[in-house]
Amino acid sequence: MAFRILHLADLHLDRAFAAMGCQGDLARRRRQGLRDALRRAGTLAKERDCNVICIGGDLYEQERAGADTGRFLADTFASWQPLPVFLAPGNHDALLPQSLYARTEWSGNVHLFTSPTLEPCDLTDGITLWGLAHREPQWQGDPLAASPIDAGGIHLALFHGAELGSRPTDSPIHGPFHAAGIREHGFAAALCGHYHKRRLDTKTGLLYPGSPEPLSFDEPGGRGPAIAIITDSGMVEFEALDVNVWRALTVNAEVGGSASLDSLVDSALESIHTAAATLDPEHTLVRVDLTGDVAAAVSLDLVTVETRLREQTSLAVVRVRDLTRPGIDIEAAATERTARGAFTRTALEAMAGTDDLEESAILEDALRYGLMALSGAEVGLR
Amino acid sequence: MRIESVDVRGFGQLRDLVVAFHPRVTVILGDNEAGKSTVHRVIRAALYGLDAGGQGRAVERSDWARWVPWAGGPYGFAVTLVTDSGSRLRIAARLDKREQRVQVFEVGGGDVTADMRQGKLIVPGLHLLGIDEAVFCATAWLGEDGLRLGAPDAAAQRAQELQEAVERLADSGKNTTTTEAVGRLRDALERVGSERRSQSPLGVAAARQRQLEKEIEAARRRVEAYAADQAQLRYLEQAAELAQQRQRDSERAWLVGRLAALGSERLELQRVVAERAELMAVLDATASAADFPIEDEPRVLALAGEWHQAVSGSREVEVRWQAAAPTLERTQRRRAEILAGVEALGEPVVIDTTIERERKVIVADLETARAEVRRLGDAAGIESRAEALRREIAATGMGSIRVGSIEAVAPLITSAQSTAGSHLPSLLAGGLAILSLMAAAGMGAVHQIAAASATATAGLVVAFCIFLLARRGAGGSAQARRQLARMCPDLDVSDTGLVRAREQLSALTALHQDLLRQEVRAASWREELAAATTQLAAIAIRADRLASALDVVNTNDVAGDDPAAHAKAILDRIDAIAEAESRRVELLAEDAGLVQTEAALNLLADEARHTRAAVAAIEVRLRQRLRVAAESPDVEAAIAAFSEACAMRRRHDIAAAQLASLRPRLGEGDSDSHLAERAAQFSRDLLARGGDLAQVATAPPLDQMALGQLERDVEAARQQASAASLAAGELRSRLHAAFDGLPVLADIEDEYALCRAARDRANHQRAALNRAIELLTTSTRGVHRDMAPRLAASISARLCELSQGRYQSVNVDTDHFGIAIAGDNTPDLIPLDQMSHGTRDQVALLLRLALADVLSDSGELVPLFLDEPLLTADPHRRDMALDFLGELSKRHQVVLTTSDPALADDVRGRLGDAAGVVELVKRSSSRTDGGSGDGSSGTRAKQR
Repeated sequence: MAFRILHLADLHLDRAFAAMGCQGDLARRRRQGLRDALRRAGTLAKERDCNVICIGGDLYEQERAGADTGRFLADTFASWQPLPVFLAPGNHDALLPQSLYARTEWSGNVHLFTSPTLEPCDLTDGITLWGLAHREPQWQGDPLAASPIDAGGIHLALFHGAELGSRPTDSPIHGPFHAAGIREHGFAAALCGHYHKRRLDTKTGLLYPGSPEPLSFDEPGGRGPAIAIITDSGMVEFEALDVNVWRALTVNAEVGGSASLDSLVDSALESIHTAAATLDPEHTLVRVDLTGDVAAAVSLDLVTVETRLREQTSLAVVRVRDLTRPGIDIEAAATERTARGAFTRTALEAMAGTDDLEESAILEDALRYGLMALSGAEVGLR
Repeated sequence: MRIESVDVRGFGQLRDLVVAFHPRVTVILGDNEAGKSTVHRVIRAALYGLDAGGQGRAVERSDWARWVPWAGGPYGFAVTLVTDSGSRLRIAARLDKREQRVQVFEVGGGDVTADMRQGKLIVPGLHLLGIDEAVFCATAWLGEDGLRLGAPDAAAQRAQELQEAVERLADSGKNTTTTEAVGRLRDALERVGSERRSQSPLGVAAARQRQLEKEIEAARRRVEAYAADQAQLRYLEQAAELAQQRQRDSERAWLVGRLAALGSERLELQRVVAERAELMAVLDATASAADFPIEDEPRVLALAGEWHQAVSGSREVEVRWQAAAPTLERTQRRRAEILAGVEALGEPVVIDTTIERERKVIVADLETARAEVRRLGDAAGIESRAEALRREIAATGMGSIRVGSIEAVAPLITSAQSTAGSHLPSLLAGGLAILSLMAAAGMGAVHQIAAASATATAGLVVAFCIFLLARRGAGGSAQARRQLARMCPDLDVSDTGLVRAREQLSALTALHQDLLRQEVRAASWREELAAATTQLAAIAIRADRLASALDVVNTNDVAGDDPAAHAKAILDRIDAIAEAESRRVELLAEDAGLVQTEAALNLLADEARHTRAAVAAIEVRLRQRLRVAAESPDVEAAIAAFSEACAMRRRHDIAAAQLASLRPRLGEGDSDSHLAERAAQFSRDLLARGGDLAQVATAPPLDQMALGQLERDVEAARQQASAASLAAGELRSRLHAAFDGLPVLADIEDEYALCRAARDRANHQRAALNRAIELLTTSTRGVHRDMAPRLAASISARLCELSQGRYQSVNVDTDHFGIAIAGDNTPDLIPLDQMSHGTRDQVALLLRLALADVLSDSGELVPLFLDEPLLTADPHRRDMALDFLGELSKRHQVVLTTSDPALADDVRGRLGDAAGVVELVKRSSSRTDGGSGDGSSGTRAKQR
């Protein structure tokens, strides 16, 4: 009979959601949603006849995790008994002396990996799970550094690490490794955490379940834990489960040609309705990217736009990013002999002459504000 | 650039209108609504296109919608112009649809539309003149106010408006000055606020952020303190658990040790009981010896030992005596025999060493000589061998031949044998004779007589010679035979005998040699035998002399002629004497030994008698001590009985003493049942504490000291566990109470992050706005500083030329383009608003043209399109303006509209051929009078 492992990672309990525009009750709902996701994973494991549950790190965020979270985790894991639960701490929940892992009393079904190198634990006859713990938040060791396994049977690895071949831009590197190393070191599969984007690669044995609930606007679509199935023939298969309650999506609103702020808001609303029509608005977080060339006469104030969009939808969150371009031919303006031309040239030259992104952003907005002011319109703040 | 013609297909109220323009001044004359301004608008549309809305502008309110032909029909036009470089361009626009189609074609050349494109728009004006539509409108395309800048009632205001207009053009090219733009930017800054203004959005965000920072810090401290307390609680719980564990371990160890001790006690108790029973049995068994006088035991034992020793010694001596008694008897008997033997040997004879040595030499020599004689006797066969050889030689028939002469006989035999059977030469001679005769007979038969006789003669002669030779050989052989017969009478000298003799010659030679050797050996033997005989005789004599020296042997009694036997007999007599003397010595020596043995055995007999007496004496004394056992006839048994009685007495005493020592131990110890009960209780306690009873079997029993230490350990661990549990309980209660009041860091951090984001965003906005103000101010100042002198120079040059030197120079200030003029009669600069109306108009116009020059880099001269410029001018001012325009038209094409025919005539009158007048006439019929326009309705143009 096949051996089934429910694997989840990157739950990030106690996460702050300000970056998604959440605060107060909404942020609390989101955090509660993360706890619900963990309970749901336990229920799923039982429904799907899983033999064990593995959690590949970043279960919570150490800097915000409180005693209540420790109690919640202990109670939740205890309620899953006798289902074994294997924990491999990651960079956000590193196994520090003051961590929840260290100061919480766990039930007997919980196995916490504590070594910074892979250590074995027999799951059943012929199947061995190897796990490790990040002992510090900035751990840079190679999770697969241990020598290849010569013993027979099926070996699985559980750890929190950054697979360098599929690293998303700007994602920090903790526990770097290459997917090709999984099989080279004798593992049938590596149950990993760190990347919030799901990746099921049976060819290399690499499994990133992704975050069970969206933690940023860059985590759209269906999400949830994954199931690793070790068949009777020793093959490893992966199955993804889409069970997330919250949805995050980015809506591109083409507002070029809007004659006024009203028409711009109307265009954005139409785009939102089109993209989020089938979603539960109370659990949907939308980021609206305004694009197109907007006439300088339109005073595009982001706070105003965001407020009006929020008022006119029932979505949990609406965040607006102004990616529009001013409805001015800047190149043509730069050729003018007027003060506007000189201003444009000076601003462009200053932008070209700086490597400081912040300074460049300030200059870009300065150019936009200046041209807007020179066009006779009220300056809309971005 | 100059406009050559305009061909309107349909544009506003104009339809199918063609207007030809004069290269210098064109006056478009027409009534109101005739379409004069529309012609200007067509030219502007040709140069810069028509705005068709979009990008935030409503289509229905766009210029494209406004200029849709009123009467319907085609919507479009064509404008032909000539550049200063001489190129003729035709701009054709079809405006029926919002997406306008414009074509720019160089007459005599090709399509240059693409060269005129600016984004989606075709803007020939921008490319040809170098100025955008806004600047074009502000400089070259003047409405009614264009030359009415200095209304008499508001000179200063009008001048200010002109400056502002110039400033707008210089700053934005549109209707905004930098000052106004900066004002809008400052308004935005006001909206953002600052961190110092607590009521502004930024101030609120900053203040809230600072407050939240403190809250977060406080919350973190509380959370960390709670975490530390949790860790402490965990530590206390673990400490309590460890202490309890230690307590349990100590209790278990105490119980195990106590159980082991109880087990040991029970075993000891059982052993003591068993020992008591054994001791009681011993007492019962030895009760009879309870009063036995054990005090006599040392003396008895001493006497017994003495007796045993005496008995042992007596027995030993007796045994030895019993063994020696037959020996003494045999010794005495042997001594008697020896005495008899010595007596039988007679008187002793002295044989000294010299005699003895001589005797041994003679014996040795005699043996040697006798051995030599025996050896020579064995060699007597040599003679027989020689005799046999002689007989064998004689058998050959040649025995008479002397040994060593056989070599002389061989040639004789050869000689005799060589002729004995040789008849062949005779036969050969006979045969030859016969053959010669037969040959001669043959020849004679054939009548060869001579040859036959010669042949016969030769044959006979040869045969005769052969015969003679054969006869001579036969005579030598006979002589050899005779000589052989003399030498060996027994030899057969016939041919056969000679053959046989010849065959035996070699064997005979060997026999002769062998015989010769045997004869030599026989001679040698005979000599050695004679020498040995002589030696034996000498030895016999020496033996006689030795016998004489002893004087006990009579040599005459010794018979025999053989010297060897004689010597042997003498020597045997001497040997017998020597042997008898030797026997005597032996017997005497044996007797001496027997004497000693006899004495020793006699001593032993004495010792045996003495020991027997000593044993009897000791036995008497011992029996006196062995009271109870004295009646026993066997002393040994009596002693044993005494010892046994003593041993019983001792066992009895020991058992009594041990029993006495056991009584206290039996009296103070617990009973076995009590011990078993306590062990059962301890076992239950051990099991209750998770202990293993199996450990008891292997655990060493602990003494009281070890048990006491364990009891102290138990108490210490119990106290530690109690203290840790108590502290943990208190801490747990405190944590429980504090749990609900713990701050949720994430909540505060969410608000903090949003505040910080708002603050960062506002600060970013402030930075961008301030940077915009800074850049805009700096750029504007630079542009003004660059543009003002150029404007001044441009205006000065034109104004000096147009005023024939009356005005020398113009100054334009860099801030807001305020204009001041220096005249030829005053050194002071006079502000424009203080100049005359005409001068202000001229300067205003020149300022616009100068702006076009400054803002353009094309070098193309901009035509002037003046719409009703002199509508309200008084005659003097109109004259001045017309003169000025006439002069200006030498460089710039001037197109002005008017509804006043007098003005048109005035222009024609003043400028003559330098001006043309086009009259727009509303159509009332299908044909026009000499006009180039053609249409069924609308307006037509007529050249005047």
